[in-house]
Amino acid sequence: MTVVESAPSAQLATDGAVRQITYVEALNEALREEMRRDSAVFVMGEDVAVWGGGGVFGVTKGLVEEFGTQRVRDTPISEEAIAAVAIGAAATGSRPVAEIMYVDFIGLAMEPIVNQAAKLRYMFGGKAKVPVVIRAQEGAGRGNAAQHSQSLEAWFCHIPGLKVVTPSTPADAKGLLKSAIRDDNPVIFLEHKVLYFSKGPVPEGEYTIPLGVADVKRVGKHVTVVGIHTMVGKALQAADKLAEEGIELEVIDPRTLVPFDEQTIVDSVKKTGRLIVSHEAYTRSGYGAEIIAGVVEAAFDYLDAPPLRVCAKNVPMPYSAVLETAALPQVDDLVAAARSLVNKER
Amino acid sequence: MTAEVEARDSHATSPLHGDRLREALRLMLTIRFFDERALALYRAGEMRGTTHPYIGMEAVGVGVMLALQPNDYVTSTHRGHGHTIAKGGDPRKMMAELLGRATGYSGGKGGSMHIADMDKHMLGANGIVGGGMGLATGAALTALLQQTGSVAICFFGDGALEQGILHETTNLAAIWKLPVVFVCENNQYAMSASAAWSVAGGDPAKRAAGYGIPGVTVDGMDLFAVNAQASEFVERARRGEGPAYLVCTTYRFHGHHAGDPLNYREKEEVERWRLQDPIEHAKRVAIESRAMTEAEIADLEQRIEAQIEEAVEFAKNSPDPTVDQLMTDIYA
Amino acid sequence: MATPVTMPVLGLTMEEGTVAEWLKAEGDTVAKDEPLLTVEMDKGTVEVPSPAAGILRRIVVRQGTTVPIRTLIAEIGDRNEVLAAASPPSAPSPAGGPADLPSSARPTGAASSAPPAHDAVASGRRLFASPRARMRARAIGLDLTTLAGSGPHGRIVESDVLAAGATDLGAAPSDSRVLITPVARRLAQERGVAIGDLVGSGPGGRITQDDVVRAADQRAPAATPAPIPAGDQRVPAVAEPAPAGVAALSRVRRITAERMAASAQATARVTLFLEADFSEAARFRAQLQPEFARLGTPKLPWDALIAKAAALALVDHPAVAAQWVDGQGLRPSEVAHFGVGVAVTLEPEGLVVPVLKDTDVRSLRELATDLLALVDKARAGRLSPLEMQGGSFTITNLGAYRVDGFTPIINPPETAILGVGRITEKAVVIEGKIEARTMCTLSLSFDHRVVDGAPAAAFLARLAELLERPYALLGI
Repeated sequence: MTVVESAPSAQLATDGAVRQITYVEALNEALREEMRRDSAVFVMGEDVAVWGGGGVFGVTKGLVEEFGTQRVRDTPISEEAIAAVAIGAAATGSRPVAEIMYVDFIGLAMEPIVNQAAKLRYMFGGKAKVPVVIRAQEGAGRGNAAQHSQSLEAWFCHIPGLKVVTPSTPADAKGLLKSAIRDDNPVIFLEHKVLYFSKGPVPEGEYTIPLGVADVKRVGKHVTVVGIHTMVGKALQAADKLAEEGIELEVIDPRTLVPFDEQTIVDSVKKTGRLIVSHEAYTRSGYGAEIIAGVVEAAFDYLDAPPLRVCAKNVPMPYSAVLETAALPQVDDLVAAARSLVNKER
Repeated sequence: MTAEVEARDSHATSPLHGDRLREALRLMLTIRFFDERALALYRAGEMRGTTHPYIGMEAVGVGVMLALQPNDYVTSTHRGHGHTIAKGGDPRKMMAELLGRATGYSGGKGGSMHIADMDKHMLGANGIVGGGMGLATGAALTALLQQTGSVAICFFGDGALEQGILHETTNLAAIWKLPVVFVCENNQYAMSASAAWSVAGGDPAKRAAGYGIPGVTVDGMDLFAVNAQASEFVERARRGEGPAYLVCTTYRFHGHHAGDPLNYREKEEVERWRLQDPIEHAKRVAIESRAMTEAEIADLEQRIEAQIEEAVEFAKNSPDPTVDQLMTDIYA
Repeated sequence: MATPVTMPVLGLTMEEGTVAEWLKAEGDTVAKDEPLLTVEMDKGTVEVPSPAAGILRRIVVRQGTTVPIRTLIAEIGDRNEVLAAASPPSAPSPAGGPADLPSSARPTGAASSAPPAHDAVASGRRLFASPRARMRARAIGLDLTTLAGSGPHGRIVESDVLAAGATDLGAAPSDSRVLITPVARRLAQERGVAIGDLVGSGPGGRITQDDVVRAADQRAPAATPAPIPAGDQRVPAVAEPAPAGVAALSRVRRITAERMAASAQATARVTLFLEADFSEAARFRAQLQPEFARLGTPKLPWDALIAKAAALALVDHPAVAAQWVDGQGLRPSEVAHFGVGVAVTLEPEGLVVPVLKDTDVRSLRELATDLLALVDKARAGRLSPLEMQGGSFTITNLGAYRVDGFTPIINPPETAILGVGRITEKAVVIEGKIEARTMCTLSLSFDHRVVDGAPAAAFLARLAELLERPYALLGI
């Protein structure tokens, strides 16, 4: 049994220096590089071309200037068609990157994603291929309220035939988006609106990060914490706090939810005996439950305490800052949970 | 009644004569016999799930398909056998798929509603009403981006007229001038929902004007009328002038699916429509134009029957998929 | 949360201990490290300090009862806390255990006297242990029913198992690697079936009751109760009633007998006799004692001087402090400084060996003070386990009984022991003339497996030299 010891940058194959850029800039670079590399790649979505700065968050900035309006297409507000048409284009030789502006709108697009993209290959006996990337951003913490703050990755994780990616750092975002675009399967690529503005080290040269490989972002021996999106950063903060008490967290960012690198989590739990899973998605039927079920099946004998979920409350995201903060999992919640496991209160 | 039938003289100017008419008849008969045999298999309990017979609608599928080039795309509906055969599909692999065999088009994993022939650009039957609209529009987008000159045909039924995705894809195709032709096979019933009460505004072709695209209704029982209008719209799309609505008024002689109680249609209505059997019409034109003799037609019918029987034999003798195939081809 | 008190491991070879006397009663407040009970073991009676502060909630093993090491003997808790279901009965079968009613009952008042493992199976309550704890316990053959859990609701967690079990999880005796249900194990004990001989037919190769019954039935029917299988550490000693005319062995006698016999039989014991001239040492001692007395140390025992000399001699001859490790070879002495044990005779019987620590570097006065205190404690039965550990060498003094030389039995796992005879005036020839000198016979028994005669003799000679020129004992 080995536990991979790594800091994020250690995993990257670099052929140059590392610079600090934002998550948005990293995504932008990924799109630009892949569009240069393969002329079949094109971008479509609402406000991706014209809106000042390229896209509501600037992810597609500068792309229409370089690649033109054929390959960077603004669409009307037609989420189902955006997804469905991208899927049809993918099935016939294109490599579209379609954007759904907020993951909260993706419900309109569920039909083509779930019934067409995910299933065409299988239903047609392996004869079809749907290399589409559907990007959306998730997340709360900015007072965007109930219909603009959700994390819905669990919906897609449930559907065989889809891949689901949730990067938490700029370096991961860039490497994974490039891999997603090159993947011949439909990939739901979920970004996070708060993480968009985070800065992190990103290698200079060409690199990709394979889908389905988790990243141990901090090594520790007492509690394994698996985090998604912003909860990775919060887990690292909790780890700093707890280190002062002699409690060491091992923080793992799965990065890809489907296919899921369960082995890395299991190896960690075999070492620590304690597991916390943390995401901004609602607790109930969130992906955390699936992660825990898998770990319990694989490593039951190694658990010294029940696995815990530190996730959002089962409530539509409220608007008021006080309420929103209370609804979301925070650093202190992680600290308390880890302490309770180590102090044998759970 | 007779006046309506005689009004069909579209064949006079049709390019479907001689060999092409023979081909059309062959395709229509193949569709007819295939679906009749499929129904029989279902009734005999030899087929799982259900099947959606195209019987009575052959002129639409064949008429449109003969307006296409080989690299043009087609998306189909749940009622997809006719489209598949018209696009050049192999009845043996179709039968095998209906019987869930490993030799079927989808290795037994799809069934009737998920038969596709990707090599022939037949992007599949679809179990979701309107499911083909995004696929066809997307195919048209690929054709535009990669400048292949292909056109996409999106078949859908009157039932799909009310799906939101039709509006979205029509709009998108119109603003982007995508080479897709939306062909509505208006057999006037969406399961039990009669188009008469469920489609607001009466004539669906009129909706096209709202998007600034052409929309025409033709007699779907008339092979030549369908082919003529389809050819015009396909060439228009190929020239880059964008999408169109082609509404073909037709009728399914059987139920929505095998096992349909059919309590929502009057028998008289069905009889009336049977008098307009598109195959009979095409046969008459073939004989009148000396493309074929009656004997040749009878011979053709026999050969096709034999071919369908052979397809059934092939299917029945084919192995089931093995369980180790269960988890394959989920991902590329 | 209840803190378990278990029969402590007081020596390398200790397998069981007897609760001699509870120094606190149930309900008493106890401070951490305060003496809680005394335990009688083969090396004598030892005081055991409390592992935690709190209230002695429950005495599980009564006075006079012998239990294997690591057995739960008591619990210390907070005033108001509900006690854990500490002696749950049903199998810590790794497959999950029977779906019994969970226990929520508080154990009532008086201590149960029987070892929990046997009692608990009968009462049908569920064992709460984390999967990880079960896995660790399986690996070292530890019976979970012997533990109290420190986890929530009395759940046994990994740290409980690690605290109770061997720290080196790989060093379990071979029998303990066998997966066996507790019921089957008890049955094997009763029927005298060696567990190591069985092949398990239960899940994961677990030995079940049926396996044991089958094995037992296959042997010739035994007329008498089967003997206790060797190597099973869990079984407490059974006292057979003695035949008429023979006094039953006291625990101390029995243990002493076993250990002495074992040492004598295992070692290749050779004894060297050396008559040392203690004249100078006697003068040296006589001059030092008043100075010691002024500083509060009433006397300078001969044993302190001799221990110091032995330690300094070991510095020059560390091979005498190496140890024989069965099946592996010699383990050289790795200590920084040498501890020397001094045998103390107890009344009415028994022998105990408190250890003077760091004898080679501490001053004579420190050693003297220390030794006097240790002897007092030893005679009062109040030695702590620490005070009886850490020796590399032992001295045993029979000088009070006019004995000169004798062949002391080596104190395992040490390699050599020095017997000290009477210190008395004797006629000695010095340069052709007979003179009266204060002499003492030193008897060095050593294990010839570890060290040969010549090096052992060299060590003894050096020891004697230090006593004949005692000023070197002053820490020069």
